[in-house]
Amino acid sequence: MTRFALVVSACLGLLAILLNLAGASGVDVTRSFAEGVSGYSFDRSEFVGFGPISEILRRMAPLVITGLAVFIALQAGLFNIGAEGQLKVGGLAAVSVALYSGTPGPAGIVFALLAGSLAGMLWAIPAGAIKTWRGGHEVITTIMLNNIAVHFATFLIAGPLRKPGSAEPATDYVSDSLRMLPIGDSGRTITVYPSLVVGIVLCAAATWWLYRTPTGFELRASGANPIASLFAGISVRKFAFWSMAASGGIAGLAGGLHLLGQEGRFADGFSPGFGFDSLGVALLAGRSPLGIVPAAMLFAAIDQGALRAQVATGLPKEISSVMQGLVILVVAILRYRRSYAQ
Amino acid sequence: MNEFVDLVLATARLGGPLALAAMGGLLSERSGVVNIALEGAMLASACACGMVSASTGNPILGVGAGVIAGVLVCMLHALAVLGFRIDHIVSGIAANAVAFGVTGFAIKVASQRGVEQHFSPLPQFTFIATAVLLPVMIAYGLQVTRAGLRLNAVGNDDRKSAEMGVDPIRVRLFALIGCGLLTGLAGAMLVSQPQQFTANMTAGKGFIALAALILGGWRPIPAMLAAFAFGLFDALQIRLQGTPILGVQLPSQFWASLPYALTLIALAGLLGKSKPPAALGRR
Repeated sequence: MTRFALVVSACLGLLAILLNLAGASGVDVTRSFAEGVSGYSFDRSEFVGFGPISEILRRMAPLVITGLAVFIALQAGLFNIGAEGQLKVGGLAAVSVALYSGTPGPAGIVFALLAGSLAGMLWAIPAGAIKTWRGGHEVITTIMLNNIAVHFATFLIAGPLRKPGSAEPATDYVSDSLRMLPIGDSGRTITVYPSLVVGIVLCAAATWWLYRTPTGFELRASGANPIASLFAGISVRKFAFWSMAASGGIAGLAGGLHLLGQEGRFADGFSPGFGFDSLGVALLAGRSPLGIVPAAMLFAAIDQGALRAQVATGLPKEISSVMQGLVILVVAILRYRRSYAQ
Repeated sequence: MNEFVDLVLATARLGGPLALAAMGGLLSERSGVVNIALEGAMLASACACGMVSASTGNPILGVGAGVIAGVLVCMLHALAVLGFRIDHIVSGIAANAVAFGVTGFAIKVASQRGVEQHFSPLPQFTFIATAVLLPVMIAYGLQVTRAGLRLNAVGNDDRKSAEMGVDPIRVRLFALIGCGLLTGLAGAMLVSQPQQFTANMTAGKGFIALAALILGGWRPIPAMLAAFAFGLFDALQIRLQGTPILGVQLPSQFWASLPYALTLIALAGLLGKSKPPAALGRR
């Protein structure tokens, strides 16, 4: 316990040093941070509106689904660092289908999302195959695939997919009938984002699948103890391959949902690193996919609070990624101590 | 002829940081510690080197600060991996996030205060020479010196090494200090080229250094050659833009992706299979 207390105080110490460097007062920063995530104003001592809460829901929507993608691979013992690339390729495919297939309405949305999911899966399959049959580490292969995805997307939106007559490297906006627009008035009520609803439903379904079905059990077993699983007749390789493919499919779906739900088109740099943040989210989630929802909310709240603190006190918002990194470390240490005690 | 010399120099400049970081990764991974924190260590070092060089006007002090920053990030990784025994990749992800945040934070604070960022660095030649000579020394050291043999022993079978009286934790701690030193040099070399630190300037170079290490089969000289090959592709990419090859004009993004695609092909075992240290990643 003393060691753990030392780690936590070291983390707080690092944050204090950074605050001091920036010349910001700890009280002001904490206050604006709290205001930024709650919507409560300390100056006026009243609740100002649902704006900040809706904003957290908006930010967490892509993190939930991408977090689930990383989580599924993690269950089979694989680190899918490539969620970022799969998300990009999935978004690209979904937007292209939405723009050019000509299918309107819900059928068009389903069509576009399926295309996104399929593209994400195809982008993850090389990593799964190399891991399964050649033993090449998935961390390196997925990072390589991420880099290729960036160049591929830049090429397509600068050339073939660019909005006709526009100089900006971005596709055209998809038509409104294919958008999944948020429901509710930001500020006065809580805004509901369809992609967040889909994400939560998917997490619930994954929890049921992992803990209530034989295949789910076999997937968890193959990740937790590959050797014992082999003796139990579980095809560990099959699960490694398909969990990576499924992970890519979910990440691709996340890209499609995010673009149809929030951005409306594919522009360079639409993802501020969802794929990387989702690694932290999946690691925080614990044993059940339902844990992804609060974990994504925490990460979104940290980002949102830091942004608010930057506006109010001038403290650089980069403090959020320091905090997220420290949260991952502390939780990993805690979890280790628990498993060690058993 | 001039163009050729140009290309060689560009290759050395672009490949040098990768080679140095790959050597850092080699020390860490040959001792059995997976280290994706190379990226964060390089970034922290580039930031520290840039800022200290600019504020003191002394590039040697800057390189020293860079090396210290690299070692600090690797010590964070060592604390998590060796002290708390958390998963090596989880710790690497956390260390990278912290380094990304702290450096982005520092550069923003510095620019808010209007601190001068530009500095005059050490000549690139010193870095290039180090990047070429160090792998040779490491290759020799791994085979001949006591420290090198212990590093290998721990990386191949940490339990047996412990029984033979070689403390794996101690060896890995020193390996990670060495890793921080070399990755620190890589960051210093990187920031010496634009002569100014910018946020997230490594942009994945630490991971590419890891790929070079794996391509080289965890051996020093092949890993260095792989790193310079990545540098060559990077240099070629800038020069081949818009030049038709066999009558086909390929987009610049094709050339930019080529090294990554080649790494994938190599990892698929189509360029011969490489074998990682046996105890890699063991907790």
